[in-house]
Amino acid sequence: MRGSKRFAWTLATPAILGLIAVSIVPFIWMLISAFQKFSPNPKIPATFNGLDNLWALFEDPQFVNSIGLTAFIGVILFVIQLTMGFAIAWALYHIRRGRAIIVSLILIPTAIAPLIAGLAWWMLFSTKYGAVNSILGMFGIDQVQWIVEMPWALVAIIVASVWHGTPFTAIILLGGLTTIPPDVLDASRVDGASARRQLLYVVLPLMKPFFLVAGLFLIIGLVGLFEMPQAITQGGPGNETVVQGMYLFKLAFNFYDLGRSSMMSLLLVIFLSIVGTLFYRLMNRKEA
Amino acid sequence: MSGTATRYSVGYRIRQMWPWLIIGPVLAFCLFPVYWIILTAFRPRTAIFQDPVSLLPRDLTLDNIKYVWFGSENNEPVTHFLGTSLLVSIIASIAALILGVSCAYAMGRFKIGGKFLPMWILSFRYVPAIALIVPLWMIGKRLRLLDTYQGLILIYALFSIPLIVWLLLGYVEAAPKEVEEAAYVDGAGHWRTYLFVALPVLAPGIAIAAVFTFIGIWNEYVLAYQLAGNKVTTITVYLPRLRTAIALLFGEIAAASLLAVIPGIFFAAIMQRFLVRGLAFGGLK
Repeated sequence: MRGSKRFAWTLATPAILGLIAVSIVPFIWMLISAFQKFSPNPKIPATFNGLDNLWALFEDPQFVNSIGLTAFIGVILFVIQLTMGFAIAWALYHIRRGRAIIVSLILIPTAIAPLIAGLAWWMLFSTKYGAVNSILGMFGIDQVQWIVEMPWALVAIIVASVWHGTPFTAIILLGGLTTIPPDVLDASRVDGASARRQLLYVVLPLMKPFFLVAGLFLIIGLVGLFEMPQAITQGGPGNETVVQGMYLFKLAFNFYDLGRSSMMSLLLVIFLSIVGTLFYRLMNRKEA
Repeated sequence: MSGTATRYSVGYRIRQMWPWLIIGPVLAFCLFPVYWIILTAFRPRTAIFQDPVSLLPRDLTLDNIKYVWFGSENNEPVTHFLGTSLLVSIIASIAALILGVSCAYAMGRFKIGGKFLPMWILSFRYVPAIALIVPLWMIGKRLRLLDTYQGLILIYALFSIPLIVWLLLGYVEAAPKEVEEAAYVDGAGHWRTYLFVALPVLAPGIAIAAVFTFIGIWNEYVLAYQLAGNKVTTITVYLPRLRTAIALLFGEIAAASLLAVIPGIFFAAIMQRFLVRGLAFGGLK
């Protein structure tokens, strides 16, 4: 077809320019700001200050704590969501009748905005008027000071995150399970493999790419973790549940330290690029 | 003899039931908070603020829904914020679809940009908005786009392009090329072939992309909170403000949340069939 390429570029160029405007432009802006010192007075121009922002971050206990806390939450979410997600997917895989309806119901938490999910859990965890303490009360357990006391505030955030994220993980893994040809399972059964061995040596290896996808989404979600703690604890008690995303916000928009927060954003983007590259490597090695 | 047979069949049946031992509690866990929002939304204050609070529905009322819909001494009418969300989500989704579908078609059908272009666009999924919020805010301030409809719509439209491209590339590649080539040979030209031959074939994919884009924008918080929030306030930004008031407004928060989650839940229900396959495969690309 004559002039095809030209036509194609005409179609694609507006989107490409738009994407450059919201990715490369902010990235360059961030790259420059990360090495500058900003005055609280916007009339005074920012000055170049080398790697000062980076050293300042490493010496900032709040920054280090927020990263540590996010990593800690991440490890727990990884373990819970991947095992629970796979258990749900494996169970759903064995349910023939009514699977569609159950999947719709299980997906409801994921369809709710994270902020609204957070608010719902904030009410559920209310010490006096919350359903969680009400249920615990039926088993004779005294009111727990969720939200206002550690480690309960952290537990509340983790429970809410598991609630919101696990259905998504489970559906990715269920999608993976449906790609396994039934003959593969039948063949191994004929060969006399027990259900447990079949799961361990046939199903799980085939599921590796799907676990990778689910893990990748988990990491991206962790970097973006903001709404849930914001809605449930607002970082409290004290600053004990200020995750990395919340600290970035504080740094930029409460302390107006645009240099340091740009440096922190830069570190996040670098981290995500490393994770992304690693993910591609692992994926392609599997396919080769 | 028959006794063992019965025992065997009962045991067999119980073994067939094992998935429900997992799914049952999971369903309860997934749905209880939803039940709680609904219950709180339809409860009078006296029932909400009981210690310990009852888990069963009794003395239900429409008061909270009325308060949030029409406004009360404690809160503004929620319709204004739902309207803002609706306006921003619809306009941004349409703009994103026009840009994204064209881009996906150009890449899928004419293979422009080689391997790099699709890789570059798809890599956007690895970067959550929060990682770019600081420079976006600085640029928005410079361009005087903060807290304006056009600013928020623009950022949502552009941020939604990668998702649309990601969802549609597969559809474009799977659509039969021959029909389009025949139309072109018959003298339809590129634009008419695209608009009147290719787009109708892609319609189901576009519908799915439209739903996901709309829900993504409707549910978004970080950008709406930081890049707007005074003159332009979406429902997600308004909701947490309900709890800074002097009184605990559980009923109002629940009622407003309920109104805000309806589109998401509605679409999740109709989209589930697509989701199971789509999420797994989309991730692999």
